[in-house]
Amino acid sequence: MISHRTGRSAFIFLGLFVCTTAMAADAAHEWLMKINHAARDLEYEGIFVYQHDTQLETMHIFHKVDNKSVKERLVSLNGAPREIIRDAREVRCYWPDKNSVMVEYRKADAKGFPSILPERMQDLDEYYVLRLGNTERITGRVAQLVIVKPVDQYRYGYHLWADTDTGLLLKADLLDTTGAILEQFMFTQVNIGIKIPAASLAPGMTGKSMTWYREDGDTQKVSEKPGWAASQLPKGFRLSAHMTRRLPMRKQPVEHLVYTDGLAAVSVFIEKQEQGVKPFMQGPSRMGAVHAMSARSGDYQITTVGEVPAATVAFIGGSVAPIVK
Amino acid sequence: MNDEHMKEKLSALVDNELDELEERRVFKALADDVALRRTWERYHLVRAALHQDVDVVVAQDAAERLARRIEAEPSTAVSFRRHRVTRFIGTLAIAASVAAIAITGVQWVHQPAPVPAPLPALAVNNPAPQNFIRSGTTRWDMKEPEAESALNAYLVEHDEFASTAGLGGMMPYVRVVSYDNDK
Repeated sequence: MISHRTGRSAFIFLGLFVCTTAMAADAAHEWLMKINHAARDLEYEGIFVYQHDTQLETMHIFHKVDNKSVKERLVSLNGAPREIIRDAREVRCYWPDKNSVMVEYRKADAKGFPSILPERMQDLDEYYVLRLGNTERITGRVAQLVIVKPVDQYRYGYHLWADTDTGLLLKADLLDTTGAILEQFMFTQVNIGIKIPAASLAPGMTGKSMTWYREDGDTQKVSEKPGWAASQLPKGFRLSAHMTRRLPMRKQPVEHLVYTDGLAAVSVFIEKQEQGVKPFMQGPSRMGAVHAMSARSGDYQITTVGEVPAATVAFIGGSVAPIVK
Repeated sequence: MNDEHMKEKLSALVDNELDELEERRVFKALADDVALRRTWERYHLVRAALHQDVDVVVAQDAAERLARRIEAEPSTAVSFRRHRVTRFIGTLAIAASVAAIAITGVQWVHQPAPVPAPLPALAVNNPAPQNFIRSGTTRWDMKEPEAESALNAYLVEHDEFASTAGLGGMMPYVRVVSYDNDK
């Protein structure tokens, strides 16, 4: 009887402990969802800095919401005024320094806009430790720090500062596996909840004298089953999307596979190469926190890209092979 | 190289205006000269201030921490004292980490190998010291225009699904916009 009671109190104690940890994680989950919703639903405009390696860039962002449809514009304030305009249908990149405009069509909307899906939220706990940090002042507003720490070397960590009033992400640090900062985003000025004039979403250039590269909209079909697959994935990663598309600037159709652990995402692009053509890239490359790797497999060029450590890109990309039917 | 000349070079380095050969020369000088490292930190602070980015973490004690780091790594010091070439590469690796310390306030050595092994001793043995230098740019760390345009098209494609897309909307696209074409 005594032992039974001791066992039960131990069980209750353990239960309390688990509950407290779970509650801490729950609060962090709630903040993640709040950030996610704010990024989509709020109307805002602001200037932010982006820093990686020894580079520092200043950008202007406009985010307009009309009847639940979102339109965004991002303009570089340093150097050539490169910009990106994005809506539910397409992404337009203006590169005045290359005298070109590139248009790609969006595919994710069919699966819903948020890339952090509530149903995968619990999965996150297996690969990341989530907790809340202190509140801090960022660009004159009070922000809640959310700490997302990976449990292994296959993903990056995040420090996210969300506006306590609205949930809008005011500052973000991307951290490598040793906890060192890889990239920083931070608003230096932001107006949240204001009405943004439609004119602010218009490109700063007409693009008339520029060369336009458009994705061929008619031929983009989502194939029934992917023809390729990664045979090894770090724990928690699984296929979340696959499609075949004709990319602007690429001659051949490209098969695109997306693997995600619920937070980090890795894309694999498979493109047929003509015989005797030199592969456009071999081996690894990097830009900020993004790693890429390309390799030839028979007649195909396989390129893996992701906001993940080089090891993850190599691990996934190196195992991609045709599915034997 | 006299002091004034060196300061001009430092300023150009901060603005990313040096060619590879000059960069290498300045990194070597930085690795050997404490006073020069302090000047370099100041330049970074000034640059950050000019960009009105007061919150950028610029560690004021970077030089000291670097010195401590070198002391804490006797194996590195020994291995690059062995002969000239390895010594030079070791110096580069450390110079690159000076950059990382000065800017982010944290120790960080980029390892381009597919397996993450950011150990300084390995960095010394790495036969590709240029990767340490060129990692400090906004570009893909490679030189083929065709590869870059392909990677950029892929990156735009990928960004739709990128982790940070769910957190900050346009955040992942920032990399595409900040991409530096002029070289």
